[in-house]
Amino acid sequence: MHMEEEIRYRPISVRRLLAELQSTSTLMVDLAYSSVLFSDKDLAEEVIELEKKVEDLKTLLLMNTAIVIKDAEDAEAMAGIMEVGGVADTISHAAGSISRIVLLDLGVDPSILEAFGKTQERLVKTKISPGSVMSGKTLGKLKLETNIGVNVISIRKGKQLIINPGAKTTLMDEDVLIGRGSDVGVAEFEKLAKGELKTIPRPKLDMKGGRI
Amino acid sequence: MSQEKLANMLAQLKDISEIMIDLSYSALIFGSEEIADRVMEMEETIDRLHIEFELAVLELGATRPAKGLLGAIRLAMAAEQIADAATVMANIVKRGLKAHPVLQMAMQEAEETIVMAEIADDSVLGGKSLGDLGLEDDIGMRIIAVRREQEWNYNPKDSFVLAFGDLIIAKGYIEGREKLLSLAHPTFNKNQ
Repeated sequence: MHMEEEIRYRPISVRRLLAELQSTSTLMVDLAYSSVLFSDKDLAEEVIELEKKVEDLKTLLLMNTAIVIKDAEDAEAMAGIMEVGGVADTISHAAGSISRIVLLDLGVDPSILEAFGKTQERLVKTKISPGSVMSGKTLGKLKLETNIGVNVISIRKGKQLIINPGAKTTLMDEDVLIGRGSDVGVAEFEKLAKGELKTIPRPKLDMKGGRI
Repeated sequence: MSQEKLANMLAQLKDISEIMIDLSYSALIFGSEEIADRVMEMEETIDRLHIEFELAVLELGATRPAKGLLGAIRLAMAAEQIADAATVMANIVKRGLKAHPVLQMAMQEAEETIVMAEIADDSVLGGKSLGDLGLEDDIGMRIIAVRREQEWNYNPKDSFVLAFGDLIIAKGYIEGREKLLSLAHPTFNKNQ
């Protein structure tokens, strides 16, 4: 746990802040539901981390909006934007509440969850170990979606969070990845990240040419 | 009530609340009251589902351990909070606050976008299943909701067959936007 730091004003474009608030809060909801579905504390803890980040972003958005308001017209234009920051924060806290179901060891009754989980794709959080075949390669080169049916939805590099990374993003040791796919796909994904699987599996095709 | 049915309600709470977030952000970007109205409709669905779900969980009370039932109730409550937040956002649009240009720019920077399109009579999409179309693989657009007559289908499965006149809502990268629009109505002016 880190000490609560006071957030000081620093100039960041409102545009960038809004984009980050939107993508981070949407990602959190995704992660939170998945953490409950698969009783996954790693995913749940990631949501709590992001919850703090969204709070900071919201504060920075308010500061960066407030500072440009000079008259009533500005205020009218900016009111909506300030409200959007609040909405993103509410969504983020709701995602936090979902994750706490897992972190507080409540869980959801297995008789309900079992049927629920069957309809959902799996999310997994994993870290790139030194020696992983994924280390030093771009997502475009790895083609994880084609090969193992896993879509990398976010990458954390130290304090930097990349949501929906593009083909040019290079994976490095210690990067924390979140991937989405079938049970088999995410299991392979984890093994690749940990270096337990040395080659990237080829796509498994059924008779009709579709991925299994 | 069977547990299968409970699971189904929970899946709907989850799916609808997630789609509401996507739609409310896009209502804001496009300044679209129509999308905002859809969000409001969904909010009513969520409210009804939420109460039905909680009652059904309480009825299980004597037969299952309390801990997991409380977890289920909290999960549904959070889904409702998410839906409420989306509704607040839709309300910003309904109140006539036009989307500020900075919002639209922000959403483009987020790289993901939402597209709404009606399937025209001469569209190649009509009569095909989502699995056969493979839109996500080909153009990076995933269909998150389909409206047929007055009925909404959320997160349609691969086996779902599109029909002419369906209204589709898709999510994906900006580059896929034009491609999907031209597939949905080939002869229609692209900048609708």
